[in-house]
Amino acid sequence: MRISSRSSSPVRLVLISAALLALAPACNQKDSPPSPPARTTEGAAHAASADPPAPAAERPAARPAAKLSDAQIAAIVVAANQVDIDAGQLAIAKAKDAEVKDFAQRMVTDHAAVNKAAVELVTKLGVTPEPSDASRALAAGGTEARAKLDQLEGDAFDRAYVDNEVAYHEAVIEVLDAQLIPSATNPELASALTGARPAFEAHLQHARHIQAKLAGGGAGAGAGHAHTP
Amino acid sequence: MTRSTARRAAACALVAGVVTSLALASCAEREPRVHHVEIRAMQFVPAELVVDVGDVVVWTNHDVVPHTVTAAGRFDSQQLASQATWRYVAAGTGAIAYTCTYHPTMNATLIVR
Repeated sequence: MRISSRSSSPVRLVLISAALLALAPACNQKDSPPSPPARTTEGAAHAASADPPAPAAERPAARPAAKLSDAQIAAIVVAANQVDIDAGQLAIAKAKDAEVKDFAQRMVTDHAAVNKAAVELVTKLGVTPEPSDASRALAAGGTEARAKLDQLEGDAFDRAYVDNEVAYHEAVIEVLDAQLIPSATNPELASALTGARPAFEAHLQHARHIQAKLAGGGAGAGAGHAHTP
Repeated sequence: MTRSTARRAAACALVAGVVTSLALASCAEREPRVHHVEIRAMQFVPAELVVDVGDVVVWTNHDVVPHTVTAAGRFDSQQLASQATWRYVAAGTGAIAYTCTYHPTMNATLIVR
């Protein structure tokens, strides 16, 4: 995962850890007890700071990954999109900066479209989304992140929301590449996951651009033009 | 019909024939071509397209998310839903930079000659 040089807000870490928890079922083998929440948050803090990574022997990702079923993948995809839809709806209501508000509207529209396509596909394939620890953790992490965001106002809210968006899209891309796409057995599902990746990447670049602008980096950084009606 | 009248008639017929031929040739030269730009994986493909004035460009959105095809002051498709198409008849020469206003990483150029 890309290491960000920005400071790590608590809100940001919650969402990072939520997304990274999607890896947990794949990384926790049957003979390994699940990591306690505090340990998971620590791992997320590592991911979001410039701290050196833990030794390979301590990193869960060093273990062979268990394969997710297509039904579990479907539930994770729906949960991941819903997390960003919900965050976007909060930002539409609370954001102060017009560009942040427009971005939030774009996230709601795009992630709803991705979810609609995902549900249509799994319905066609006869796959019923199956909740897992990963999808439940994503949903719970999203709820917690929104609660923390909701306590912020004005510029602080805008910065925290956009920081979250950067971290969220980085984490989701990581999970797509490391777990979801390699685990998908149905070719159409794998193709749909691969097809959704560029949208997440474009959102990430867009969020980084706004993040730089809010930090005083000017409009020259990142994605350039960023008007989203 | 006198000889001079006959000559004039023949000349007129010749001129008319030439004019008709030129007109037909001109029409053939101006027959607009149709070009296609695919919107796929958050990109315009091809990213650069050269067309002649009067040609038709058709954009098709193959992504699941909506896009726009927008060149400030020149053209704007407004929201283009998944699988929707939008046509533009190329007018005015020059390079026209355009973007998706929803996704600022998506940029391309239409060159009209």
